[in-house]
Amino acid sequence: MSNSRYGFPAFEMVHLLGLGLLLGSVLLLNARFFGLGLRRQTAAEVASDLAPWTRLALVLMAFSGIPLFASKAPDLWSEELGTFALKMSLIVTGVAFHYWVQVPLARSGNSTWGRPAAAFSLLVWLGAAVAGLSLEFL
Amino acid sequence: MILGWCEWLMETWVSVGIRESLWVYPMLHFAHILSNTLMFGTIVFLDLRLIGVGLTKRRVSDVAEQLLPWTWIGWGLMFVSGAFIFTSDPVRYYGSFFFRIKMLLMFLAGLNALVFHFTVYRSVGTWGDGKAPGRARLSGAVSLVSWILILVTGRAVGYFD
Repeated sequence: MSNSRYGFPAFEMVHLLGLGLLLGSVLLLNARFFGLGLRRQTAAEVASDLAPWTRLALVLMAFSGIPLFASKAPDLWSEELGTFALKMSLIVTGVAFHYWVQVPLARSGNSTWGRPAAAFSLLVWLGAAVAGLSLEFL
Repeated sequence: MILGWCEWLMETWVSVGIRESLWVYPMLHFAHILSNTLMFGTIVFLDLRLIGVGLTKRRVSDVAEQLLPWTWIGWGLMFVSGAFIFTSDPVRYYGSFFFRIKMLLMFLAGLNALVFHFTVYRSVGTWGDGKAPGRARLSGAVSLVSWILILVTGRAVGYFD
């Protein structure tokens, strides 16, 4: 892929489309937890409406991210290991928190932990996105 | 004429300031891409609902009314950050093939949204829970394809002339 002029940008475009869909669905679920949007539906309904699209976004990001990683691996290892490790830890945290904490919270209708959990989720995903963008733009 | 204006813009202190700053330029890109997730990430769900493949349990009016404020906030942030990015290097962007295609696609997406909003969407109250009318589905498909291509051409501007 490093020999191709179009390979890297093409996978990066898919990665960015996936990012839009992923953060879009995560922001909307969190907005619902904060009571700022989609209030005509319950948090459980919003979570189940968005679930297939969150999953699709994660698949798009993983399948485009692996070749992006492979083509940049030596540089990432030697120069940007800290940022890359931070990004991957935040993604693992974000995915685990989404499926193990937020979706169950949405289903349970628990109103005490929804907001703090949503704030944590937003911080984790924004951090992951900013770390990912730093690898590209800084 | 536009080129002359771009050349003038390039000499302004704003343009020079962004170009010479180490941090402002990447920060503008961060803001542009993050606000894109708000705009693209909400408009796709309306488009998917219109086409009939996503959020199908909800009425189109529920989806549209609840998502559009977020889409507009994202759009506003994108416009402001995008305008500053353009200002930083107007002559290059003006000459860029992909930038021109992107602007054309944005015009088409805007026109599509306007036509949708002022024609077929007026009868949204009668659509009920099921499928949107054919013209609304077409509008959703045009919007979805346009915004995907806007994102793709936008990234291409950074790579190719």
